[in-house]
Amino acid sequence: MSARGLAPRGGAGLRWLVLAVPPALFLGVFFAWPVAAIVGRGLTGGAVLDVVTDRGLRGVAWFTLWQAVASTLLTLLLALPGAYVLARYDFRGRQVVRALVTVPFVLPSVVVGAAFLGLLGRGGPLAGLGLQQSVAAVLIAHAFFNYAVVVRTVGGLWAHLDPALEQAARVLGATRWKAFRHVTLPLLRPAIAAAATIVFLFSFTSFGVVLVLGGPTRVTIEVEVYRQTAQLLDLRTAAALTLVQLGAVVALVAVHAWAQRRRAGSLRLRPANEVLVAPRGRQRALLAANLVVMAVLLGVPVASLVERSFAATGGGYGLASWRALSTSRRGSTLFVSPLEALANSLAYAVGATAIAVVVGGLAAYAVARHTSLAARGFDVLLMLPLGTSAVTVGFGFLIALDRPPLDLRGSAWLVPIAQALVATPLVVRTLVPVLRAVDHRLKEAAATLGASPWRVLRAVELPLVGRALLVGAGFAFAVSLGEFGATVFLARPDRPTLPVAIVRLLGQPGPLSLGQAMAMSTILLVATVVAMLAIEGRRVGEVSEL
Amino acid sequence: MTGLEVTGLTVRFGALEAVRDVDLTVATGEVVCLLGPSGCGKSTLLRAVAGLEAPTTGRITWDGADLAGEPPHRRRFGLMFQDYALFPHLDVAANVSFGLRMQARATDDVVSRTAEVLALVGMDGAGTRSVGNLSGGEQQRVALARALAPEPRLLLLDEPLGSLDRTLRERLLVELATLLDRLGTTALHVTHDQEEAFSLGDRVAVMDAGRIVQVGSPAEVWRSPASAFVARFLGFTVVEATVADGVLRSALGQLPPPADIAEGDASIVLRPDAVRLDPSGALTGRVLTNTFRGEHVLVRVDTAAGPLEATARGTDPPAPGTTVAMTVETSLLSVLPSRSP
Repeated sequence: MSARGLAPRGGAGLRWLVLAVPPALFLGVFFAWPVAAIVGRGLTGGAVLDVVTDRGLRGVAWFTLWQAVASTLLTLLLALPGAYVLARYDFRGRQVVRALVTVPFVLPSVVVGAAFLGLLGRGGPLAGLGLQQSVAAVLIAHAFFNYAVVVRTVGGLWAHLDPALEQAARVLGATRWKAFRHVTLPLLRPAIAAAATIVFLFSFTSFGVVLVLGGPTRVTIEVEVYRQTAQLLDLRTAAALTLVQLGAVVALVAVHAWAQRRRAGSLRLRPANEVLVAPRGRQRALLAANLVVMAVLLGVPVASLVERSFAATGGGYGLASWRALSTSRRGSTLFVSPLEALANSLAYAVGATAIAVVVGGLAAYAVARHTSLAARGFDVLLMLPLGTSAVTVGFGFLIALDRPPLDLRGSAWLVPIAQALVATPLVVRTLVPVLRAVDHRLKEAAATLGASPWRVLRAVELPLVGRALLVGAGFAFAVSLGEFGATVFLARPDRPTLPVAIVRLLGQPGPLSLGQAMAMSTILLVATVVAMLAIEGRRVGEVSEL
Repeated sequence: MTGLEVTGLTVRFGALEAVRDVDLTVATGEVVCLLGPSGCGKSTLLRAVAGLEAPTTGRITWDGADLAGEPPHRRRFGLMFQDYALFPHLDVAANVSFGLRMQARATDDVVSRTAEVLALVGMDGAGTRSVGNLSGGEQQRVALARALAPEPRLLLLDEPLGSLDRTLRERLLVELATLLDRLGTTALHVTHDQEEAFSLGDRVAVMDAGRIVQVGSPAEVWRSPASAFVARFLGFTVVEATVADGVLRSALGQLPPPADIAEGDASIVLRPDAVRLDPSGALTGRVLTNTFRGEHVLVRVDTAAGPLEATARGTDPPAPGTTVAMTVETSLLSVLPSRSP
C-alpha cells in the first residue's frame, strides 16, 4: 500500500470510526481538556509575561535548557561507541549485555535519583567526590537513564547498515575515519537526531531525578511547576511555566519532524546477524573499554542502591532498613507503611495497564489499518502524552477534573487514568509495527482457504499479535509502577505509591529514612526488572519501535 | 612478476576454511574470472585481495610487493560490490567522485574525471540523479564508473551482473567485456555464471570448497574439465567407466579410449552436443522430456547410463515415452582418469 493509500471509506470508514472514537474520547477528556485548562489559566492576566520577566524563573528556564543540552551531549558521547560495539561485534553474552543496558531506561526516575543519591550522597561509596547536589550528578544520572535510548535507536539502525557501504569507501581510498565521517555518519544521522531529540526531551522535562539530586538551587521548569503548585500554591505561575515548557517541547518536536522529512533516500538494510563480526585486535580493546563504561555508568549505581539498602547505621551491614518497611513510624510524613505503599502501587498499576491495553489496543488497530491522512494524524496525536511532561498531566488533572461535569477529586481512578495516559503510547508503539507487519498475504491466504474475517482475526492475527499485546501490557505496567510526575499530584496523602513514598522518605532527615528509601527503591527496581525480563522473552523477532 | 600474485592463501573464519591454500596470478592487462558455486570461497578470495579480509596464511603481492598489512584504502584496487553498495545519501556524481575526493584531487580534475567516467559507462548527464531512482542496469553502470574513476591498478568485480534480469545481463556483459578490453583493465572477476566467466575472462579459475580446482583459458576449461566436479558444474553429464584391454567400457557401450588414458577406473564427460539422436545408433533409451531451445530441441533420455541429454535438430522431436536410439560423438568426449566424485 502506498503512503497515500486507502482513505477509510464507506463501511470500512465506519468500522475505523468505531475503533478510533473511544481512544480519541479518552485522549480528549483526559489529555486535551486538562492541557487546554492549563493553557487557559496560563494565558490569563499576562501570567506568561510575568514568568518570562521574572529573573528567578528565567534562571530556571536557562538551567533547564543548558542541562538538557549538556545531558544530551554527554549521553551521546558515552553511548554512541556502546551502540556501535553492541551493533557490530559478536561476543559471548552480547544478548545479555543488550538486555541489561536497557534496564536503566525503564527504571522509575525516582529510583534513578535514589541510586545516585546513595552512591554520591553522604555515607555513599563515592561521597568523596563531592558530587552531591551538583549539576554533574544530574547530568550523569541523565546519561545513565538515557544510555539505552541511544543504543536502541542508533544501534538499531547501525546493526542493519550494509557493511559493504563502508568497505566500498575504504576500497575507494578512504581511511577508517573518513569512511565513518563520509558514509556511516551521514547514514546514521536520522537515528542520531531522533535519539538526541528523545534524550533532550527526557532531560528537559526531567522531574524525579532533578528533584532528588539537584538540591534546592538546581531546579528545572518541571520541578518549579511542582514547587509552585504543591508548596507555594501559585497555580497561575505554575500554569504559565507549564505553558512555556509545552511550547518548547512542541517546537522541538516540530523541528525534529521537519528535519526527518528531509532524510536521505531509502536504505537497503541487512539482517543484523550478517553484519556482526568477531572483534579482533584493536576492536577487542574498543569492546572492552565500552563494556567497562557500561559497567561503571550503568552497573555501579544499581549495585550501590542495593548495597545501601543493607547498610547499617554506623557502618557494617544489616536488615534494619528492610525490617522497617512494614512499620509506619510515628512522626513520619509518611502516613502509611512502605508495604502498604507497595500494595497501592500494584493496584494502581494493574488498573492503569488495563486501561492502557484497551485504549491503546483500539488505537493501534485504527492506526495500523489505514494509511490515510486521518490515521496518520491520529497516530501523532496518540504520541503527544509521551512528549508532554507528566507534571503537566498531573497538574492539568488537578485544575480540570475538579468540578462538574467531571469531578474526579478523591476518586480512586484518578491515578490509574493519569498513568494510563503515559502508558498508552507505549502500547500503541508496540502493537502498530506488529499489526502492520502481519503479512497481508497471510490474511489473504486464510481467506482463500475459506476463513471468514472473524476467523482470520482469531486464527491468524490474534496469535501473532497476542505476544505483542503482552509486551505492550508489560511496558504499561512497568511505566505505571514507576510513574511519579503525575502521581505525586494526584495520589491522596494517605494512599501514596512507592515512588511518592520514596521521595517523601528521601526528604526526611535520618539514616533510617534513607535506608528505607533505598530498600523501597530496590523493591521497585526488582519489580520493574522482572516485568521487563518477562517482556524480553516474548518479543516477536525485532519488530518493535521501542 | 608483474600484476597480482596470490601464494598459498588460506582464509579461516573460526572453524570454517573459506579459502584453502590458493595460488593464483593475474598478469597486468589480464582478466581472470573466478568461477564457482555460491559458498565456494570465491568472494572471500576477492575480499582478501581487496584487503577487506585478513589472510590466515599465505601471501598476496602486487608487482612483487607484499600487501600484508596494507589497508584497503592504500592498495589502489577498485572493487565493484555485489548489489553495488552505492552510497544512498549521495547523488550519482558524488558516488562516482568519492574515490577522487579521497585522493584530495583538485576540484576541476574531480569534475572532469567524473564526467569522463560517466560518459564511458553511458551515463553522461546523470550526475545529479539520486541513486535511489536508478534502475538495476543504471546502478550497475554507476557502480562500475565509481570503481573505475580513481584509475585502480586492479579492478575487482564481485558478481557485477548477478542481480540483473537475463536480457539486461547479456547486453551489459557485452558492454563490460568491450570496456575492459578497450581500457586494457587488469581485472579479477567473481561469478557463478559460466557464460559470464567464459565471455569475460582471458583465463578462468574454477573454485570448489575453497580450492582452485582448474585454471585455464575458457576453451581449455570447456573442452577438458579437470575433474568430475568441474564437468558437472558446467552442466555436463559424467558417466562412470573402466578402461581395460584397450576398450573404454561403460553403460554407453564400448568406445575407443583416448590415447593417453591408463588402464583402470575412469569417468566419461558428456557435453550436451556429444549425444545425438540417430536411428542407427547403438545406445537406446526412453524419452523423458523435450525442451525447446530455439535452433534445437534438448531431449532428456533415460538410458542404462542414467538420464542423458541429447540434441535433436528439426521440428519433430520424439514424444515422451517413446524409445529412441542415439550415437555418442567420440571426438567430443573427454575422459578423466579414475572415478572422481
